[in-house]
Amino acid sequence: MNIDFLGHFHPLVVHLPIGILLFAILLEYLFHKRNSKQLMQVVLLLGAISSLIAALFGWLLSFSGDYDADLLDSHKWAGILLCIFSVALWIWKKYVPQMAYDRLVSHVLFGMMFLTLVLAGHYGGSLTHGADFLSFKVQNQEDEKTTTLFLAPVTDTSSGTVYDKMITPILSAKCYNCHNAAKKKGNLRMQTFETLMKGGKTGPSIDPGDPVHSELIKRILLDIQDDKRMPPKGKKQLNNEEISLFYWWVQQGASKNVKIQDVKKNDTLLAFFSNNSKPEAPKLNLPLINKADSIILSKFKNSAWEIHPIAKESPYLDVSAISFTSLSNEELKKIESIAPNIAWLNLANTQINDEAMQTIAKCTNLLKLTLSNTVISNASVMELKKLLKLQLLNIMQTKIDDNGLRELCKMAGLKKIYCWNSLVTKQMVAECIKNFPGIEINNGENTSVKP
Amino acid sequence: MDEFEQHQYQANRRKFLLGSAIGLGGIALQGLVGCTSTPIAKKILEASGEEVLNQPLGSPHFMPTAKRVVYLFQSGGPSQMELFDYKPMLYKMHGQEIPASVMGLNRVSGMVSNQYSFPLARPACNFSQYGTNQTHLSELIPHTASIVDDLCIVKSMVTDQINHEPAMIFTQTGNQLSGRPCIGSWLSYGLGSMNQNLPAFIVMLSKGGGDQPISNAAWSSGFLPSYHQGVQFLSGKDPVLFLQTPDGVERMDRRRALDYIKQFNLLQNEKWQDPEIESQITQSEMAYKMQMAVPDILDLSKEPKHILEMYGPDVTKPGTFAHNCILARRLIEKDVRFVQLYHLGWDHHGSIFSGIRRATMQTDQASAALVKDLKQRGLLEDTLVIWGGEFGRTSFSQGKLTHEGFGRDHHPSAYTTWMAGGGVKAGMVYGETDDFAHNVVKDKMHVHDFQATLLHMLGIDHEKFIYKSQGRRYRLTDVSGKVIKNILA
Repeated sequence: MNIDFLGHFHPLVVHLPIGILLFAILLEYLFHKRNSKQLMQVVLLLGAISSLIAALFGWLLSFSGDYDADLLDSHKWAGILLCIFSVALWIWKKYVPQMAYDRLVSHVLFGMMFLTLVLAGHYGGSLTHGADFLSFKVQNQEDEKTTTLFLAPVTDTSSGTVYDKMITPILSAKCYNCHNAAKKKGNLRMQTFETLMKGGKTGPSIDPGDPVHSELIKRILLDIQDDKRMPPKGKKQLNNEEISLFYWWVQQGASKNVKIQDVKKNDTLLAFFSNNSKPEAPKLNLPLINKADSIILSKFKNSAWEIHPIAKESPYLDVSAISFTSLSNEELKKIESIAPNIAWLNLANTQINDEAMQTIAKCTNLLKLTLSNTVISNASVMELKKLLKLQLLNIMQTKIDDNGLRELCKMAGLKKIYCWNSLVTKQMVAECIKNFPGIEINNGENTSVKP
Repeated sequence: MDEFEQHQYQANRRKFLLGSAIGLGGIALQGLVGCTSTPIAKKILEASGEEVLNQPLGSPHFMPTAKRVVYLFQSGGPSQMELFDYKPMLYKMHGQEIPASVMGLNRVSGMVSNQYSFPLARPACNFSQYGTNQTHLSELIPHTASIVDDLCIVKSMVTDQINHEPAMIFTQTGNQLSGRPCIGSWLSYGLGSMNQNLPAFIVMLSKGGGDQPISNAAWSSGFLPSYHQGVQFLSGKDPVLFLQTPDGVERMDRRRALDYIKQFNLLQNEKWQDPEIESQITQSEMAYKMQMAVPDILDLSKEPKHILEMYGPDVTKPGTFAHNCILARRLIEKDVRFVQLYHLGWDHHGSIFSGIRRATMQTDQASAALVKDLKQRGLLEDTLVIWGGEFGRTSFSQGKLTHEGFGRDHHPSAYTTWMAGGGVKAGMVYGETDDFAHNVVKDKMHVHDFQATLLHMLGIDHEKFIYKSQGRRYRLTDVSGKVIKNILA
């Protein structure tokens, strides 16, 4: 077995001296009254031994050559000093008899031990997490395993090079963390074009024009379980578009200077431009509420109701009585149990009348309501006006007339009314269109387009 | 059917190995945590990395803007130059050879492969401007012109196929060979029916069009359960074949017979677990319900006269495009998910002058009436209407350009399709072709992009709508397709 392997335990063992030595400090300064000499000696002995082991392992790990030499040097010397101070402390407490400067020497030794501990810890942290890990920059909150593209799409395609605007943002988000000047895993640094091309332990990372034989492309295409896969399992992964982009870029010669405006815009590139990103999924714009109780929903399963979530994971429901033409006011009351969850409601062709509005008014989150071909009349309008979020109302073939329409138009949120074949007159529609420009009213008058 | 039995039927080597691995781990875990509830079992399954495949979506991925679709398929390849894509250059250069730079290396069909001269041919009609945007449209489609403010006209459609059957199958299924599910079947499978008495996917063919036959592979469910194939409504006495109860059999008798048959089927299903048995049970039940629902749909006697007149004089003749259009509206009113119409007769290889006039007379008024009728009922809000064929036609003449007339050959690299309603932008023209309507120069919309956009409007992410069959994962858009967001309202 290669002895260097033990070095991999450094990050594990290193936390022992930190804990134990800090505990010793606590004992010395906070609990000094209950502190016995023997206990202090045991704790300091453990601290000294663990720091020596940690230092030894750290020394073995340093041979891997993955780290920035300057930082490593600082870390090494801080570690060695820590070892010296912790051993010295132990010897002081155990073997040196009480003398005049006892308290002063003890304070100095503890102080130096604490200082070196903090320094060694900080340098060690910088080595593993990058030198800037202890900054107040907002940390990326996203799940490490996420594969979606969180980079801002390229908006300006008229200037800038492919390397600057498309390649480096990806490297920065998903590779720099381990391949920077300080950490340089596999002796590969990616932060400048030159070091990226130079490659690392396994040779040049990119063979311009030949993606198949480029180490970087090979690595990002390996199976996620493979040890050599980059980024390794558990780290932020490249998505398909990003892999395609790297492949394309290397194939085109991996140039630093080629401009975005000069290259042929193929699908691989278009995927990164702002006007070609996937469109956002339309949203209901309703507050997030609890889903309807699944037990209550299951009661509707074998009924004539059609009740479906508007989208997967959405708490809002699309409720339709399209197969339920015999629906009465009484039966409609059953949906009161899910009323706040209903966003779209279709009651066309059913037997409901104005009294049903008591139930409908309880659907406070209703956006679309279809009442076409029912006997509802102006008596419903007062209750309908309670639906503050309603955007679309279909009162086609109902008994609502001009007065009803005028009242309905006063609803603040309403955007569309379909009133063809109701008792509403043409004149009233024209008047409402004039007075309420925010509402689109369709009464079936097809303003035929003329040449 | 419990899960154990499901495995009995569907076990294979991989499942066995996976199952035993998970099984042992599961038993161990059960011992550790002392819990047998299914969520844990589910977690183990998820942790094992096996995808949940071949599960209908149930609900869309995100909020749909369209709940239903009417697809007015114009089979044969309507000429874009005679209908939507106004090219003054063609009038100017009538009779001259198509420039080599325009012709490029475009594929031509076998029908013009012996032709050495490709003279440009002026459109067989005139154009005028209509609507708020003053869109150029042919004089042959005055009714469509009257709804231009509701339309999104895509002039930059591109397909991969140059012959009718493969091109049509490509548009419908995303692949040129028959055997994959068509759009309607995908939707029926993925989202299900919204009406308990009618199937989610209904197909109607109109007569009196042309000669190109149309194969039922275009409404096949492919590898999806056969329950999702399109149900064809025919014209004539028996609109849906084998739906009527034989004379002398009462409805109650039928019910009892069905119940008994169902028991047998269930017994058989327990033993064999063949998904087709389930299909059979569901189909029988659906047929029973349809016996009541279908005559109601087909009965136009209660339609007011002015509505019938909107669709044109053919509307009362079963089997015509106009008749099918009004039936489509009645089906959409009943929340049928996908209504597919096929009209034949757009294949004008010769004498396009008369051919295109025949075709537009049969389709223009009814297509426009359907959009208007849906709109006044508020249904266009969440119903997408699509009008288009499988490819376009060439700007040059097929055969000799004579005074008597000329024809146009198939042309896959540019053609026009329009859409309306269902969350598509109204009153817009998308895409541009060159001066000869021969190549797309701006905003190409490939058939797969069209399919991806269509699914997007129905709330489906086309990249996540997958069915695994015979070891391969399939999508309607195969391995490509992009949602064209610029046409979305």
